[in-house]
Amino acid sequence: MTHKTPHHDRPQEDLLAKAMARALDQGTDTLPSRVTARLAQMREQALSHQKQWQSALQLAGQSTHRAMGSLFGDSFGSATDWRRWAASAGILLVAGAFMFWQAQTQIEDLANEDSALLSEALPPNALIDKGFQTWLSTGTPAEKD
Amino acid sequence: MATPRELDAFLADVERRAYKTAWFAVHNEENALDIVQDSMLKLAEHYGDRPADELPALFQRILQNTIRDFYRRSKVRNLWTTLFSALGGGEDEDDQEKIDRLRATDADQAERPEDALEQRRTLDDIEESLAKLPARQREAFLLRYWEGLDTAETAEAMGCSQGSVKTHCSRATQALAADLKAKGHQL
Repeated sequence: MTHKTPHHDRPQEDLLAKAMARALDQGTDTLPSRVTARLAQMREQALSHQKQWQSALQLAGQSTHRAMGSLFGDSFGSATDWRRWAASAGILLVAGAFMFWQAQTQIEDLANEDSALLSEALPPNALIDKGFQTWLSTGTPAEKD
Repeated sequence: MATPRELDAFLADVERRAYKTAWFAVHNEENALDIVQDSMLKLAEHYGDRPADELPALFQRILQNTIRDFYRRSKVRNLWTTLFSALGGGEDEDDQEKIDRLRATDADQAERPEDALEQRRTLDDIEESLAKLPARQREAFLLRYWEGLDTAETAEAMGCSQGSVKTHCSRATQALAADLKAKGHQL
């Protein structure tokens, strides 16, 4: 390990203290094996309890929640998400109803036109006859006579 | 946020010094290991999501607090033991063994070989002198010079002012030097 340079008024004391610290460092190399084995075991135990892992699991849970939310239109979200979802559904419903009403009106108009044509004494084919169109625009032969 | 690898590397780097620091304070292998274990777990459980560069100061603060907690518990235990003894009450054998272990000052040192090298003898003398220091002086000395914390970090870990840290460090170094000289070491 590296020892930081201490800011002290007595450099002699610092040198002595650092020399003793170095000697103590050497002492840690000669610990009994039962102690070093126990220390390694403790370290493993501590690592298995690291707070980060719990946080990581929570993060994973949140990510899954978000993914489910995007799949199901934020239906897994908060109350605000629910309100947003309900508003969107309402708008879609109104738009759908308007389009349905428009289509129905169009169908009804066409049906009315068809029935009006069919109920006339004049046959429908007469309306596309050129002679009849000419006759309509110039007036009736009886008037000319 | 410290990754598991960073936390592992930090603990691997600090664990032996942490053990010795605890041992200097409680003079007992089992108790020192328990203190280090508690400190490691507290760091991982409560501060495992902190950036890696914050871990050294946090760990030292936890370690020192755990040592202080151990002192407090020992004090309470000893008080009850003394009361029971005074009243003639018996304590079970396990408790007596634990207290004996607490009072054993150098049980680990007895396991060291008698024919140790000069370097080993010097180290033993330093460790012995360190163990004799007042707790706050030893704490300041180890944090400042062994753990390499700066004055501000040491003060933070010890919960005192930077001026107190400097005073503790100076007194600790002088006391260690005097003790080592008395043991025949040339400084």
